[in-house]
Amino acid sequence: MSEIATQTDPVKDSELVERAQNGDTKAFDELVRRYTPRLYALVYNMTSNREDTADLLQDIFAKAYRSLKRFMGKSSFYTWIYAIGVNMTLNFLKKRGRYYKVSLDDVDTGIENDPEFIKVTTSNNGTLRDVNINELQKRLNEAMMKLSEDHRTVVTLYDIQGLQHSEISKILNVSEGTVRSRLFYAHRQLQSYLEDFVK
Amino acid sequence: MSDFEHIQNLIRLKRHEKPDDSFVENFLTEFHQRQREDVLKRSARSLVWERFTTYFSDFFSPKWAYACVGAAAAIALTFFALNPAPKASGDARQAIAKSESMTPTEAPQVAEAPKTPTSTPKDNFGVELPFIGFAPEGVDIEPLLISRHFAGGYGDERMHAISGSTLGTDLIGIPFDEAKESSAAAEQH
Repeated sequence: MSEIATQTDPVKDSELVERAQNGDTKAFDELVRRYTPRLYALVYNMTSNREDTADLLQDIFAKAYRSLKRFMGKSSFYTWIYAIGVNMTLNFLKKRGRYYKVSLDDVDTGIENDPEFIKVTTSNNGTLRDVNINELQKRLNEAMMKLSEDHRTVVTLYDIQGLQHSEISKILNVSEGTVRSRLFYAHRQLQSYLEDFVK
Repeated sequence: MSDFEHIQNLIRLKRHEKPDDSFVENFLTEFHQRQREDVLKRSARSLVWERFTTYFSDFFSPKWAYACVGAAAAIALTFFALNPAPKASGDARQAIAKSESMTPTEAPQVAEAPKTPTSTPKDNFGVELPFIGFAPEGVDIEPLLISRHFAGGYGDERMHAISGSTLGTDLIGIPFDEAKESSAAAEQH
C-alpha cells in the first residue's frame, strides 16, 4: 500500500510536509485528510473502541504537528506518522490495562462481495451458514483483543493494512525476523480462537 | 490454501470496518477546535515544557543512555587515575611527627621550631610522603638512618639498650656473647 498509494496522490507527501513546515496550515490539513482513514484503521484495530480511537487520533495529529519541524525526511512521512501512532496507541493501551469496552464500527457493505466472507458464510454443500456480519465482526474483534499488544500490532499492520515486513520493521524499530516471528505466533493463536470459522 | 492463509484472509475482512464518510471532515474541524482550545487553556510554561520534552524525546534512546553512562565511567576512571591517594590532613601529619620524635624531651623543641616545609616531599612514584618533622640542630642523622636500614628499622643504640632481654641475639638467633667466642675460636684454628 503506502509507498505506491502516496506516489499516486496528486501532491506528494514530501511537498505537503515542506509547505507545512514553512507554516502552511492548509498543507497540514491535507496530510490529516490523507492519513486519517489509514491511522483510524490502525488505532481502531488495536483498541477496538471508537471513542478511544477518535481521541487518540486527535492526540497523534497534534503531536505530529508539534514535531513536524524536526521531521528531516530521512524516512517517508507515512513511516514517521505511523511510528507516532503505534507508540501513542501502545502507551494508551498500557495505561488502559484490561478495562475496556468493545464498540464495533460500521461494516462496509462491500464485505458481502468479499470472497472470504462468502466462503465463511457458505458451507461445503453450498448452503448459507448461520453467520451474520455482526457476529463475525464481534468474533474477529474478540480474537484480536486476546492477542498481546505486540502481536496485535503486527497483525494490524500486515494483515489488515497490507504493509510489508520491511516497512513494519522500520515503524516498530525491530528486525524483520522479529516481525515474522510475531506474525507466526499471532496467526497460530488466531487459528485456535477462530477454528470454527477456519474449518 | 493453508490454514494460515485462511486466517489471514479472515482477518483481512476487518478492512471493511470503517467509520462513516463524514468522519474525516468532522475530525478535521474538531482538530482545529482542539488546537485553539489547547493554546488558550494551557499556560506558557506548560507549552514551553512540552516543546522542550518533545524536542529531547528522540535523544533519550537506550543507545544514548549507554553512551552517557560509558562516558561518565571513563571520566571517573581518568580522575581517579590522576589522583590516586588522598592528601593527609594537617592533624594526621602532626600526630605522625609526634610519634616519630626521638625523645619526649626533644619533641617540644621540634614543635617550638616554626619550620614548615615549602613543599611536600614525594617518592619516585609521585606519591606524597608524610612530613615527620625536622631533626634537632647538631644531630647527625646519616648514621642513624644507615643503622636503621641494616638493623631492620631499629638503631644499634636501641638494640644494645635492650640486649638484656631475648633480643640480645644477632640476626640469626645466636646470642652476641656466644657469637663472639665462636668467631675467636675459628680465628685460632
